Amino acid sequence: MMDAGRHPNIEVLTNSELVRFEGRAGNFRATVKKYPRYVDEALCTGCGQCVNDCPVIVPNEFEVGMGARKAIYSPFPQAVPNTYIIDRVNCLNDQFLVCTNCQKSCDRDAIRYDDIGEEIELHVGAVVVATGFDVYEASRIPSYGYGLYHNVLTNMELERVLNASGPTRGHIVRPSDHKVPKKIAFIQCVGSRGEGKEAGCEYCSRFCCMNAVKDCMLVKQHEPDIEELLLFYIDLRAAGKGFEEFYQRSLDMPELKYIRGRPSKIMEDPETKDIFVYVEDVETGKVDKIRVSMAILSAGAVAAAANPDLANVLGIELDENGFFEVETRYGSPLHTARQGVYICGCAAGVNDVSDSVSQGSGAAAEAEKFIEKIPVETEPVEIKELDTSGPPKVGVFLCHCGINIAGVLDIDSLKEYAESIPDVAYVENNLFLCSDEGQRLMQNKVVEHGLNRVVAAACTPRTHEPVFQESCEQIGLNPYLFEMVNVRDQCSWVHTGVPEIATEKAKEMIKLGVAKARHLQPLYRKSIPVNQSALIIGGGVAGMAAALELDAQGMKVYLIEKEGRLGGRLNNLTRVYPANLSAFELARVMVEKVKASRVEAMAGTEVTGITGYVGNFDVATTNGNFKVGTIVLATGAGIYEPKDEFGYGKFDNVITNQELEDILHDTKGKIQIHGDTPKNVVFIQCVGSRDAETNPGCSRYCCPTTIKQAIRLRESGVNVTVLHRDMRTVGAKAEEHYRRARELGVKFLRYTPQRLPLVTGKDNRATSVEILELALDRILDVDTDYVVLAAGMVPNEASTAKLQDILKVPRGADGFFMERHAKLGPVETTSEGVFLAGCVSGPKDIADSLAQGSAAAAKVASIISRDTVNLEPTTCIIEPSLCRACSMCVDMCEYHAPSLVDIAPGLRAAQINQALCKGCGTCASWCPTGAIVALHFTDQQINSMLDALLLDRV
Amino acid sequence: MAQRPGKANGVLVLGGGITGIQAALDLAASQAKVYLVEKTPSLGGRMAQLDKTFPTMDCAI
Amino acid sequence: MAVRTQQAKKKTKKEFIPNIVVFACNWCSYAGADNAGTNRMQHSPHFRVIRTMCSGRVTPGFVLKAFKLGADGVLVSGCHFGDCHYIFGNYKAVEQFEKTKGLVKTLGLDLKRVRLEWVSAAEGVRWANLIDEFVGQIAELGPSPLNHKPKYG
Repeated sequence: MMDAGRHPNIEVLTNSELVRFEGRAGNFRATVKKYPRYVDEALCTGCGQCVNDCPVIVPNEFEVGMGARKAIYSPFPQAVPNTYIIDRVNCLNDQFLVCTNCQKSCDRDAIRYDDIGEEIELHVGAVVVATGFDVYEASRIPSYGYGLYHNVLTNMELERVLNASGPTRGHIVRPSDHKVPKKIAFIQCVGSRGEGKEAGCEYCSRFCCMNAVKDCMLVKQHEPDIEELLLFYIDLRAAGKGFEEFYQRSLDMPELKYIRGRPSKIMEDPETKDIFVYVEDVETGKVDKIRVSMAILSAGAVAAAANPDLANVLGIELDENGFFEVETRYGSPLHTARQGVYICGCAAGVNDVSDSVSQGSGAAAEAEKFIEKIPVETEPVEIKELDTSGPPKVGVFLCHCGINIAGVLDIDSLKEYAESIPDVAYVENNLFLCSDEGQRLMQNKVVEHGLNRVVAAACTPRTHEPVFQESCEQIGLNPYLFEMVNVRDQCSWVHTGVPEIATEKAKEMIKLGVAKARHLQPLYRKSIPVNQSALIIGGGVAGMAAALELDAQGMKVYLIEKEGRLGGRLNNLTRVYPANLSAFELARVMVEKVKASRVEAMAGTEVTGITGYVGNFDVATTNGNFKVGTIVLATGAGIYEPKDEFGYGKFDNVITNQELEDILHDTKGKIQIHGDTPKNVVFIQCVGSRDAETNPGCSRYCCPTTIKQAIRLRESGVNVTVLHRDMRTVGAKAEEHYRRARELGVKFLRYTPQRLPLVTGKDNRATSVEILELALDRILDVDTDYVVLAAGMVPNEASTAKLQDILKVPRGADGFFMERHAKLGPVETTSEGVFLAGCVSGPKDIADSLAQGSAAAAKVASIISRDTVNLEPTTCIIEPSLCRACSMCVDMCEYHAPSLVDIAPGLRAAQINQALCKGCGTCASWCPTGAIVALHFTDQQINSMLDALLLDRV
Repeated sequence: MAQRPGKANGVLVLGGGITGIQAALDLAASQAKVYLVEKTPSLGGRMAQLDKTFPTMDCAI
Repeated sequence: MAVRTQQAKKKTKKEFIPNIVVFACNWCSYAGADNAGTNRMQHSPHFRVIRTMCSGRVTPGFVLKAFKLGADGVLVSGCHFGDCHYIFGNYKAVEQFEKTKGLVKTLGLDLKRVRLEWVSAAEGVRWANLIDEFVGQIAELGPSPLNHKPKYG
């Protein structure tokens, strides 16, 4: 978030809306209306002084109405931009009222009561629509009493309650009596998977199941004395990487009980304000009235209310649920019918965070095709570097931050103290050091007094260090000669009640900063040349999508595929949901596009070795060697091969879903299995999924696949029964297809892992399946001509292990490649320049794989669209004379940055590859000889801080 | 806005939530000029309102 | 928290003020301390933070030096497992900390004087509570035997 606010290529227009849009892809004209903020963004420093003086208190939207804010406010503490805003509806300065408190309190004179906003004309090549969703109004289901009963909250409200900075400071209390609840009910599918008159939406909102499981765990963490957590659900949909494992962990919580059933109504006990949940447990058939202290409604996601207007402006369509309509022709979830306009995240339907992030990157790649990339001009001004070789001359700059610091700490006393610290040559204070004038002051004084180290006692380096460093750089002072002391966030703000002690503490903090500054050394950002090309390993949908995107952007791409032809799994499928596309056609179109492009596609080729680092990989294959700058792993996954489960191998008519797919493929529409038309077919779900022994994860693709196949069979008159644990029909239109299957007469029966279905038969043919019907508590015999096992998706062990060995990219406990971050970096790895796309990181369907292919292309483009990559200089280096080549650092580094090299004949020492090192400094901490120097956090710097702190105390 | 002939070099990203931010950052990294338009006064979207995210329990901000 | 510091102020008898060094990793714990600030979570001021990029950077030598120079307590704080910016740096910190504890014991110091904790960037409350609790614990233990100039106030 902060990164987007600071990026020189990103102009953030908040409080703004698109109002007009015309033109065609590559050449759109867009008009954005920027609504007035009434506070000047250029002047406001976000100090918050005005808030203290504002007399108006209104409910805070960010806290879902549970907290309060003033009429002048910042939406939340980490808001970007941190400019305040006046809510003029509630403000007491209008035609008749004349409150000017905020204007008076603002030292920077940033208040603009007469702000009228502006319209901005933009010339853009493409548009990415990422407008998200709205939360379902839980009050639309009157029988759940939301808004009527005190102790019925929504999941969004609970999120804020759980948050340490939320309205209750992270304590869970009942709104009615502010007591900690003993029993909490979580009610799923509120507004999702709707049926009947209190319908809500028909689709599944996808994230609420996992969100509720997470909230149960958090509630327990926050309030360990909680007695009971009841989670009422229809199907527990833990369909995503690591989700099933997370759900399984929650089963170990003795307080948490899962109850399968959708409550019919909720009532309040008028005296105790307790909540009664009326529900039928569909597993026992028991109807119950359960007393709880509080109920949480898992409100689903609905299309944003603003969608129709925006669709109108953009000239695109909405689907039947009010989301933006996806053009499904390409199989990818990112296209709209209008070229140059792309959708991602929850604008086109409900997605969880990691899929949204992938789609965001994917949409970026699509958009990049329509623009001319013009490097943002960096000023070519030559800056002469200041000579800093002499003894340290430290400048200390004290920021008041309005009254945020100066209101608590005694600035004069700090100044006097700072002047007394040895090596401090100059001390100055300023009202807002981060403002333009503050920065200029700092620059002038550095030059004027010949300072060679700078310490700023102000706010946190996490947000403001880059600002100060940039200013240092502008005058030729190496930015790594700057040190920041956080006397606001970690002193004046948290020791407000004890100003004398806080001032003493701030003095010591400044002394520590100066102690470190004395030993700071200039460091230089290195840049290494980039080979502007990409290697994509795996010619399935994800790999081909990535290759085509990059080719369209004019990049050099090598696409290698182990098998004899491109297409991957698509070659083995008939139809692709949700749009019922022909897999054959989709594969044919993509393969032809690849052939027509400049992509160097090599089928029947395998990687044999890769060395190097971002920008400079040397690749060896069975079909020649070449150099690339980036690598995408898109080698897909394997399908679980049943051993002897459910009579597989014993009975000829027990087949896997892939075998059924092949049969449907071969018989071209006629449903004939080995020449017979079957009457009864039974599907068994979760074979080789959700099983600790074979594969702990949920394979995600199999429920929708079974639905697709079941509908196909049922439409040909076959009786279909599906035996499942939870029907996890997440994803676009999957829930709607599930409903359709039920309407067509497909039967769904649930089984539990404790009592698996039993396939029985004679000779080599299965004839029936025994299953315990849970509600009736009776064994049912289902006649069958065919049993179809929905086989899970597992890592392709041989190829993944080999690639792991070659590239040193870590794999998770599930055997799939690990992403940099499960949510925020779904296509990145910990190795820079190496990306993931498709099922190589976990089970995905075709649409998600395509989106990830595009996403990986965007990541690749961000590296190879430049001639060089910049490396942060705060890495670790090795002093070879101290190294005795013990290889401890080599063994421990997750990034494989250190390696042993010959530094002289017969003399070995470790060397750290600066392109791979992330600068965590862990190796420096472990090095037995002290040969490793963690730059900017050296032993000398830290030790001198300890000396300053403990040897001569204030 | 300087009006250049031919292709534009800007991309309009509508929505300043996690998805829009991701799109904007990737575009910017590939040297596109990005206009990130958000209806509310701050970036962040829904994700900023969440306490923690599953399954790794990372903080959401 | 605030109450405690006020109480401390009221007391006329001079109380021992512990000298505590806190090593906080840049990505989680330092950010958690900032988060406590953003939320104005008042807590004891009797500690000083040294920022490192990762908790794995904190070598036993730093902790020992702190004790040698008279620190009364040392806290090392990193990211929760699974949150580490450098994947497994905090696991490495655990291994280092085991060594540290052994050495602290050899110095003859109470092991309660040294601690390894996890605080995430969102856990300002946890940070404030942790600091109060640790400062309280060290205050109870009294000055370190190696602290030759204990401070009272």
